[in-house]
Amino acid sequence: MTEEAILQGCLKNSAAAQRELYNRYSPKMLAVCYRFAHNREDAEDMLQEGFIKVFSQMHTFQNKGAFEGWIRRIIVHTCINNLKKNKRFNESLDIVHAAGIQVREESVPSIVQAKQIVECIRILPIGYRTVLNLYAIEGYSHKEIAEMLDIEESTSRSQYTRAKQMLEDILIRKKILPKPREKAEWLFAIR
Amino acid sequence: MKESNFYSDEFEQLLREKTEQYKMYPSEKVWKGIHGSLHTKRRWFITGMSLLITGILFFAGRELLSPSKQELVKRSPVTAHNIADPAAAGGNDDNNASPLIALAGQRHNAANTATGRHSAASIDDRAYRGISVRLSDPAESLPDISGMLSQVMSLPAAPPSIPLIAVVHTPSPAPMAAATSEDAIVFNAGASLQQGRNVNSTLAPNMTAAAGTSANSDLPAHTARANTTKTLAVTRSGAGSVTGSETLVDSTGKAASGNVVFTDAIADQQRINWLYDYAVYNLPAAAKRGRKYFQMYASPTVTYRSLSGGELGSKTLMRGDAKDYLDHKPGLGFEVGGMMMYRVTRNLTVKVGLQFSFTRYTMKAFVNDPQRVTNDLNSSYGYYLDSMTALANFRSFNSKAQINLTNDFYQLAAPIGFELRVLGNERLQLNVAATIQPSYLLNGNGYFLTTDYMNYVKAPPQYRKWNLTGGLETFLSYKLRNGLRLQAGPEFRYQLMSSFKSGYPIHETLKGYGLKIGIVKAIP
Repeated sequence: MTEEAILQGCLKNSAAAQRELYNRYSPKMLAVCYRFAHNREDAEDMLQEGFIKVFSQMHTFQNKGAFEGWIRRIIVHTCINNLKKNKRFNESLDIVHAAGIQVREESVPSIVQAKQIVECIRILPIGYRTVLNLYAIEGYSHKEIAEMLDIEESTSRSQYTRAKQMLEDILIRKKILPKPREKAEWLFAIR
Repeated sequence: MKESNFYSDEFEQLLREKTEQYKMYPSEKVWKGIHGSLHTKRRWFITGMSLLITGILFFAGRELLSPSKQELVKRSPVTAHNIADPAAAGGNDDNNASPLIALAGQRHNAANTATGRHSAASIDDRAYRGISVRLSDPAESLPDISGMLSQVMSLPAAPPSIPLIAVVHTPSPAPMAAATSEDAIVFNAGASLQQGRNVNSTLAPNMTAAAGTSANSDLPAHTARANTTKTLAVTRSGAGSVTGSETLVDSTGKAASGNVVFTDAIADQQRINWLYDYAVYNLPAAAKRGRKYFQMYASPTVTYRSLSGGELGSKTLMRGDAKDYLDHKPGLGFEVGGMMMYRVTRNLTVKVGLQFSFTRYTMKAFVNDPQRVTNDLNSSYGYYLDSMTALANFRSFNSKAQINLTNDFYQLAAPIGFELRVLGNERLQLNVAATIQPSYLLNGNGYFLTTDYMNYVKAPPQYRKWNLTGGLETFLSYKLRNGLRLQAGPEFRYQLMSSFKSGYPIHETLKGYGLKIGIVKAIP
């Protein structure tokens, strides 16, 4: 089924087209939700709510830009609204938990690295994690982040700086990221 | 700084790359939640319709297979009260009047004056009051009888006067034995009922009609001297009756003199059957079953639109049918109306009425800058083309922003048709019906597709004001105890002519289905 056919089918509220769309994009979108959520169950709730909005607002898609990007924006906004509703921005960092995870020292496949990086991101406090996700991964500007989270733009910048520093420390501790002296070599090596 | 900026960008890029690689597969319950949320209306509709249809089928099946019994009256023989031996009572049994006599009462009748004229006052009517008359057989399908009998159950304070007929016979040494030699007094009340149903009530053989005590004073002297037990003219059940010429003799062999009234069974029934007489003469006549009815109904409907055509004169405007260029979906509407119905035969009813309907459907369109469009039309002459110019704000294909256009139509129709009962009894029936509905469009400002299939315009003059719709329906009809009938069932409507005038090359016909619910009342 082409993307155009899926779109047309979804506009007609065809269950088959909706299922096809869901199957195509739900794995990536769940990973997006997982980075924002407290646990997998919360992530699935966010995913469900996000896709309901996607199908409900399908008629507003104006063929500007990629369809996946449009879906992703709706999912991210859903995640943010969910976090704000549940007031999850006040959790503290659990470094002890992060330090307790054992990582094998041999080089691990890239996909395992991806999983571990995601898990390290989830270790961050909810506020740091959200700003990091929105700025570094989703590509929102600090101004947009400030509007979404109802914070100051300067607060967004400072939160991001701290989040990045903390993530680096976690990745180094987990030996996913090499020590500072070896950073440049390592970064070129993994490409 | 450069290095840190470089590293910062690299770090962020690393994060983006790695997180993009990562995928997670959700559990099935996520999709079920999404699907259930999106298709809730359909689920509720299906659930509601299933419950409604199941309920209707359940009650219909129960009623058709095991119809509920309508016991209008209870089984109970008429009991004899205060029957006493006149001798023991000293011949004065005013206070112990036989209910039989009391029921018979008195009625002045010149034809039976020999012994039978008594005033109502001479009869002790104390026993008359409070007696409940019960018939033995239930009348199952006689609503009229039930109405009559229910009135009969309330006896008037004063009994109607019925001639008292006494057959006097001479006493035998054992009067009681003589009494026992008589057949049991048979109170025959039912012979004259329309259905010919006999209602029998018997007294014990030894019981005598003791009201003769008061009658004694009015009887001819010889009867008083005879000191007889007096019985009413009786009807012997199954054993023949006392015929007119028979003469009874006393123990001395002498024929009883005086006036002895002999009656046959039919006359007996008429005289003593005060119940029937009262019903006939005093109660209002039961209304005959009418043939005229009035129906009111309402029906939520769903309307679909089908398009065809696209030929202009002898040339085809576009490839394919108009429906290939459109995306529309049905909308919810309703019908309300009233019908006058006339029952031609037991199963066939014709009807005519007035109906208001609202139909709606939506079409997907796209906002566009206003532009003038020209619609080519077929002229009345067939081979000369005509045209129409209009301003179009919406397109049928991708443009600026998508929008849903809604077309609403209000129509007034005069359905004419018939109903046919195919199954069932008086209470529960399965019917089919068909109607032809000439209709008039009250508004005509909906959007329609231009002949080039590219734009949507409003052009009221192109809408056909008068149209014709056919309707088919089937429904269950249930009669309530108060005479009203409830009807419910699906209906299907199909517009026979295009919504647009004949000159417009694109044809649009509307089809709809709905659930019709109606109430029918007989018109007296």
